[in-house]
Amino acid sequence: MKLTPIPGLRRGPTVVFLGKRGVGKSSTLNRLFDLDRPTDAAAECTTEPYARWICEQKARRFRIVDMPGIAAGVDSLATYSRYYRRWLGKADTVVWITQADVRSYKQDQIFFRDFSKFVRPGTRLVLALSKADTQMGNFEAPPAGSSPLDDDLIRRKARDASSQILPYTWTPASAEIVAYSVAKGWNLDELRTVVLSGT
Amino acid sequence: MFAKTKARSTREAVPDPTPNLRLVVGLNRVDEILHDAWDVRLNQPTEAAALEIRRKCEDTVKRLARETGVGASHIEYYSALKRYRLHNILNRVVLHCFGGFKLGDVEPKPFEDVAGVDPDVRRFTQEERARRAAASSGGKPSSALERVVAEMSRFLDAEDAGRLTSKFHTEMRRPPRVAVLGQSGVGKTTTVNALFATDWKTSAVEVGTHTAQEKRVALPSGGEISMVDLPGYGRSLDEDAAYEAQYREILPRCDLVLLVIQADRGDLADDIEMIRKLSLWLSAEPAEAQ
Repeated sequence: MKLTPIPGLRRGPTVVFLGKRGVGKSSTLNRLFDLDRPTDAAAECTTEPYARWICEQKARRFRIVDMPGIAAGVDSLATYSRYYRRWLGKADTVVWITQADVRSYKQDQIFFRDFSKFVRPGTRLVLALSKADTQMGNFEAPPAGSSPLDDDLIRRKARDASSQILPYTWTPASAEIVAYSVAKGWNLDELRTVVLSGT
Repeated sequence: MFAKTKARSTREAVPDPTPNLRLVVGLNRVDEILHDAWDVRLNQPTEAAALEIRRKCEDTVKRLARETGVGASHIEYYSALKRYRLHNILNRVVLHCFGGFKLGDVEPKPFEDVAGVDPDVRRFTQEERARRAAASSGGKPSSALERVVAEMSRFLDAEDAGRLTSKFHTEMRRPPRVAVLGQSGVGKTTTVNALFATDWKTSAVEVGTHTAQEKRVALPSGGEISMVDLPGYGRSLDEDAAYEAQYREILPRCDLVLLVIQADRGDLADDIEMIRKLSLWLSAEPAEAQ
């Protein structure tokens, strides 16, 4: 009997996680996919891309990629440039993480201005607002079933972030946006659903 | 002048590589580095959190020093909203300000007004403040600096003494100009409000400050500061290009630049770039630049 290779054994969409240094890329991945990536509030941990295939109930197979953060120093874009180019070219979904308690987006703009051209057409973009709890009106007791995006302050934040970042991306008109908090364990299911909805 | 000596002696004896740089970098919002890290009763981080905060800030100090050459004595961490370690920031301001001696013993806004401070602690602090104020009543004593000038004048001939005194009074009439700079949204205006008991408007989402504003602030301990509030950088490519001319025009004429950085962030690219520019812009004395 001749063995046929199982179709798509190493095939599946690639989800690339990007954002400025320290926004919580690795912490988010650890919580979403039950990984054990090293994280540290003080030191830079991810200095090389980390790619891993994840297979869920044999039905869904995808690859997640944790990237070194941008804007750690003035020359960090140049240092990691080849990594960004390589993985953006393979991405089916790009998850761009930005802190909810931040309103400066110049470095985000520079990144997309310079690297959007390496993205394949049709690639999805998800804008993820981390540390949403720092901005919520009532973060000690959110109503059951509510999403952080129900909160007025965080909704304004989300609008502000997308209006500053999206015009510089390859998809200025459409991106999904999710707010979440790893520390408070909020809205992680929603984030996971949105991130994987293309897979 | 006395504040200067005091601040210096508490530091380890590492020579400052940039002793004349009129720059203080403040790492704000240290209370947001960790979760559930704040002891509300004492208004300070818990013991374990204090260590983590220190470790995180020391890493930032090291990175800034490596990339910009600014000495560690120019950098201090604090939280404006919690009014935590504001004295440390003021010490740095007095130490590195071009006319720092004019500021004397500056007091930040009292900490017990912070929301969430234990009522017992608040009551005790207020009573104690009132008691001490009552005990020391009897008019404002002449400042240490005035006494020194008077003392020196006794040893000079009348002409030199007159020149010294008039120079001293001219300088004292010109309050130090302190500019607050930082990325958009890091808490520049909140910092000024906490340090100098001002009441400037702040906002969480919208950009609060678009054009530079200058205001004289009377300090509770006497003396004045001229505060310059500037629009933040790093928000967008367009805005940065527009603000650069304003910075170049205003900053070299200031006696000190207080650069605020958000302590819970890891991206320092914009701040490093700005500090490098500041090192150039601040190379001439403020009087010469005027």
